[in-house]
Amino acid sequence: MVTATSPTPGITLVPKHSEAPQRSIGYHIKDYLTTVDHKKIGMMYLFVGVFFFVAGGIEALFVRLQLARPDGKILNPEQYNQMYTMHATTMVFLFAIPVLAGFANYFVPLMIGARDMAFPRMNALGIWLLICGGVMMNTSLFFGGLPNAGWFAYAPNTLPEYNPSHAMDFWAVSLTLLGISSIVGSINIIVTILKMRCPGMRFNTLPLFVWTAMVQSFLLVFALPSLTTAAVFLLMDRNFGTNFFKAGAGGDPLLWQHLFWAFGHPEVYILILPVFGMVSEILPVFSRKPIFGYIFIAWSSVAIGFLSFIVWAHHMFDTGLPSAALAFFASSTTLIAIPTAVKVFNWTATLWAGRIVVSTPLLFAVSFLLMFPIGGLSGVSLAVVPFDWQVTDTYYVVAHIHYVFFGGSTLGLFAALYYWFPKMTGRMLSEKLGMWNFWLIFLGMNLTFFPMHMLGLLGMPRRQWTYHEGLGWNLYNLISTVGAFMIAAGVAVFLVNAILSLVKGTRAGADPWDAWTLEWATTSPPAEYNFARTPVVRSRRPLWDLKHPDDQDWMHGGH
Amino acid sequence: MSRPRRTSRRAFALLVSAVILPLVLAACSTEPGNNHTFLNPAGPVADTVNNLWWLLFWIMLAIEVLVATLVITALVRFRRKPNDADPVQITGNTRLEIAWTVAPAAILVVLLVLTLSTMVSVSEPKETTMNITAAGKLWWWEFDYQGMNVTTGNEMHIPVGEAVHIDLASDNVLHAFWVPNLSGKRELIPGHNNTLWLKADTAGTYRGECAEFCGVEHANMNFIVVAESRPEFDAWIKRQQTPATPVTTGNVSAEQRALIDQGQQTITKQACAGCHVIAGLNQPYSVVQGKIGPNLTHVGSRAYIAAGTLENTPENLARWLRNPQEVKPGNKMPNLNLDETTIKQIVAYLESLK
Amino acid sequence: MAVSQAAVHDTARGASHQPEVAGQGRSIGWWAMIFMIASEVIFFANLIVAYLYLRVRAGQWPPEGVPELELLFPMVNTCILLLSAIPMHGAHMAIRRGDRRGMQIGLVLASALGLIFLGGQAYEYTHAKFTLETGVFGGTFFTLTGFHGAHVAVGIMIMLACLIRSFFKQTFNKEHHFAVEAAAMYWHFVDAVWIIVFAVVYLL
Ligand code: HEA
Ligand code: HEA
Ligand code: HEC
Ligand code: CUA
Ligand SMILES: [Cu+2]
Repeated sequence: MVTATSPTPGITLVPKHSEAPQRSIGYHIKDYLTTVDHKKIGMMYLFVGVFFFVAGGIEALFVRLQLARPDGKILNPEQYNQMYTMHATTMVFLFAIPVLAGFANYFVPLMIGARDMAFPRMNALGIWLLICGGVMMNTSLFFGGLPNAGWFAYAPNTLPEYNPSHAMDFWAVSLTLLGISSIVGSINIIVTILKMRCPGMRFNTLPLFVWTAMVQSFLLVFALPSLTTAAVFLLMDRNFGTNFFKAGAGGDPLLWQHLFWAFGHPEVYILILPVFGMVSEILPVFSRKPIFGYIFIAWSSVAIGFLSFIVWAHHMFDTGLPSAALAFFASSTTLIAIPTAVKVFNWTATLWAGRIVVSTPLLFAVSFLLMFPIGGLSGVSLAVVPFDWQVTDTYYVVAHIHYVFFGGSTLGLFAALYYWFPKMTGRMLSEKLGMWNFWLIFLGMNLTFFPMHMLGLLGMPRRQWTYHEGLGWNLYNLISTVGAFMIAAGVAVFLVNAILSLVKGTRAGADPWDAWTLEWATTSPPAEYNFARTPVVRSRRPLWDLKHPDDQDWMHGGH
Repeated sequence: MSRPRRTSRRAFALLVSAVILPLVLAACSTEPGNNHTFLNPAGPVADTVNNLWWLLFWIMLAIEVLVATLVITALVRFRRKPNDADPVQITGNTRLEIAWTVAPAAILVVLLVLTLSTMVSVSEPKETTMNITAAGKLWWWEFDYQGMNVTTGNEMHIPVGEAVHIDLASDNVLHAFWVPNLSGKRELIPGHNNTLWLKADTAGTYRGECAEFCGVEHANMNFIVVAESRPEFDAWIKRQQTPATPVTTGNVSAEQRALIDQGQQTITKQACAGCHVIAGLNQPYSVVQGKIGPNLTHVGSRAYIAAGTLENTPENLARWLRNPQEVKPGNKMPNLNLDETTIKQIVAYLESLK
Repeated sequence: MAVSQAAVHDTARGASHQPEVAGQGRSIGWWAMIFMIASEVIFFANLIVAYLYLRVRAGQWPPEGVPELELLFPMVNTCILLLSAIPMHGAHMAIRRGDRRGMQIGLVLASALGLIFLGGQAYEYTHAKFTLETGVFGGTFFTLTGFHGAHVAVGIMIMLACLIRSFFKQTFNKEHHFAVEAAAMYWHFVDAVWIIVFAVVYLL
């Protein structure tokens, strides 16, 4: 029975790590290949994601090398186009999505006190489809070249007339595979959250990461079909003689843009919402006080989710849409900044009057809080249509992209990696290397991406394989390239840190951060079945209740 | 429990400077040549947007500084010291929530009003003095002065102080027409009749570029807009309307004159006519539509060749003819393997087509 | 200290309570089907919106030289497909009563009707006076109806899989028959989508 003395039945604080039995490498490989355990699948997602992060990063380094000086000679135009296209495609579809899926797979069941996902086998299908899609995307290299039309692949440049190799077929098919992978994964997450919560875990007590993972999953389920439609039309136009995008025969290239961005805009929030959730988990723990305005953070995510479906044409302001349409999309885009503003201020208030423990996860989370608004604010400026007409398709937009994707998603993901690595592996990451990691990446990203604002304002279009002397772009490009290598060094430090700590890191124990959500109530790494007994919770911070039997959250009428 | 140890204030100084450093770099950018931007407006639209931008800039800066100040103050002030007890467990404050929903909303409403009113104020005036079709080719621009029988490549002339209407046309992929000093950009979409208008308040040469990815040589698809006084403009138009006639007056040496003549002979024997029009030479003089490549009728009068890639000098033109693929890899003009004499002759001829 | 509602709520349920999955509300499979179908609905919505967009831009529809779509034959075919909803529903109801034979009959009938529909579609395709390459008219026609046809085919395969399973093992009974339920859900979705696709492509 629930009594005041056993605040959170089913869980007890685990004092020590559990020693995993020594097994051969072969055993582990076979284990992972056939597993349906959500934690192992989550690890696979993370591994695939980090692998592609390095791949996409190396592609970005080639881009930066080529642009370091005017009239660069590292890549020829065709190679450059393939490089930047694969950079973006890899980062968006093969790094960010998988890493987020990995965290969701690993932690959603743990945080809601479940033993696995609702459909373990469907889960395995998701990861294997992802791997197929990723391999397929890159194998086009051996069939005439990599995709080369940018990550949004505007028609008609993608039609055989202009793009004779098979790269775009590979691109379209693998995006469809990746889409199916994400849809089955998302359905699994939604159903898990709807149906597998432990007793007492109501929507009002759900950890915020779980909230955002759920909203993200809904977005995926409803946004991806637009991409699939676009890909299907493209494949038919390319291979079966239809005319969806062929202006001469009644089709319309603009149809591609509508379809792509109907997916593409929700997609960018798909890549940030769970990160909002992660930051909402990490900031409270390291401020030693609960999240400020839980309800507002949770529901503003839902608001963002809805709004994200009605803003797509802000990517098409310069396509000659009617003024009424421009006015509508400018308004909806402006609106979407409000729920995000609410979040930013709530996070700031969470830090305020806390007892802030400065360590790597916190530093990454705080840098997210400093950098993401720069991207968000430049986004708001892009919603100012006449200004967008000047800076769209310039490096100003590239700067926006990277302040939200790197300053937002990626920094947040590093915070999450440092925060949850101990749970997943049982080992702490080194704080010393962590600091190096942090400062290199933080300074590096600002050096890389801030000057891009200036380049855009100074008239440098994006997707240029080269530029000439005398346009005033040399210095900023050079700074940007130097910054990119600083980021690379930071990423290398991270990889070293991860490997070293796997080998000889200090043991983490179950709860190294003195945290409050359910995943910290089990061993690190958790046993196959997660919890020996199904936990029962009655507030948002079950472990706080457990640790403070006399001062439990629910006793104050809180949650 | 593993607790972090390093507590260096230097770290925070670094953190702040990382944000400020690039800003400072922005402020003291003294690199020459960077006037090819709407921050240096030469027309009413760019001017309006320039003012709008600085307003946006200060608003954005203020908000970011506010957030950064709060966050960094919190980090410094509320940093945990040894033996600190847990802080008060505050979970929220409805009044604050309302405040920070309403305040941004108010700012955003202002921005929205500005957006809409600026959209109205930069829309095309009724009075335009001419229509020019700007056609995006792979990868160069063709400008056709409607009803004037003038077609040029990569160089548009407009009279100062007059609003001109531009029809944007593409029969291939997407492009975007952009002259930063004068106006924003607009996409060229096959099947759509997009338009734009330009007005220059000051005479000058303004760089324009293709701003929508259009394939291999998207980077080298630039052009110039020359804004000049009405009489200069009229003279230019008049000259463009004539068939190709080598300018051999002035101090052109006899030797040079011979070269020009030989060039005129030899160019008709080459493959050039398959892709280029030289009105009066290989085409009746009324046919001035460029075909695959730019109209060469008055190529000698242009400031650049190959869509802004090279300045139009005899040396550069020779370099282009020697191997266009070396200059602009992937462009649609093949290497024609001309020998040096032929090149010399053709260069002399083309450069004389003022 | 006020005991919050949450606490009361939890106390009332008791600690021995099983996770919420068991027995409460619809099964997890049902929910998964709902979201999968929702995603498919959005896919068709995209196809239809794209169709309408291109059609409005085209002005003349069908294009010069292409006759109006013939109505009678597809109308009959539509009725056949819609009719199949009845045996499908019957099959689902039967197994809920534990009547495996009834379910098998229902599945056989429903998939037979589905196959007839596909046959009809194949006939229509082969006798069409236009092709995939006829402007956007041909492309949209074949894409919309073709993707629907593919969904019909998948539905039939699901039904046949249920049917085969029901013969081999004593798989389905009164309580455990989710596959049949899923087949029914999917089939009704395919039916409903056809009404819209038909209305848009043939009637509008
Ligand atoms: C994680 C991804 C992400 C996120 C979160 C956002 C967030 C936003 N984006 Fe961005 N966007 C992209 C990823 C993202 N974007 C990408 C990848 C592209 C380019 C695609 C391509 O072309 O390749 C793009 C392009 C893009 C464009 C098109 C530009 C162009 O091509 O011309 C526009 C235009 O309106 C836009 C707007 C916005 C707005 C208004 C927000 C808002 O949601 C931002 C809200 C956040 C804040 C406002 C900051 C925090 C708030 C405060 C500090 C409070 C106070 C604020 C105010 C009062 C203003 N984005
Ligand atoms: C999540 C998304 C994401 C991320 C993380 C990044 C990260 C980076 N991006 Fe990119 N980018 C996009 C999404 C992203 N980008 C998108 C959507 C576009 C638009 C594309 C389009 O127009 O279609 C774009 C476009 C884009 C451009 C513009 C190209 C153009 O328009 O021509 C540039 C140019 O500099 C760039 C650079 C970078 C750099 C330097 C990084 C760096 O941060 C990368 C850092 C990572 C590394 C450097 C990893 C390397 C690691 C190592 C080397 C470790 C060493 C190895 C061992 C020890 C084994 N990106
Ligand atoms: C197969 C087609 C083709 C042939 C043949 C061809 N050209 Fe070109 N030419 C082009 C194209 C296309 C361009 C535009 C290249 C670009 O800027 O991308 C061009 C550009 C040029 C330019 C630069 C014009 C400008 O204003 O930018 C000159 C000069 C030129 N060609 C001269 C010649 C001469 C002389 C010959 C014959 C000896 C020739 N071309 C044969 C296709 C051709
Ligand atoms: Cu034309 Cu880019
Ligand atoms: Cu967007």
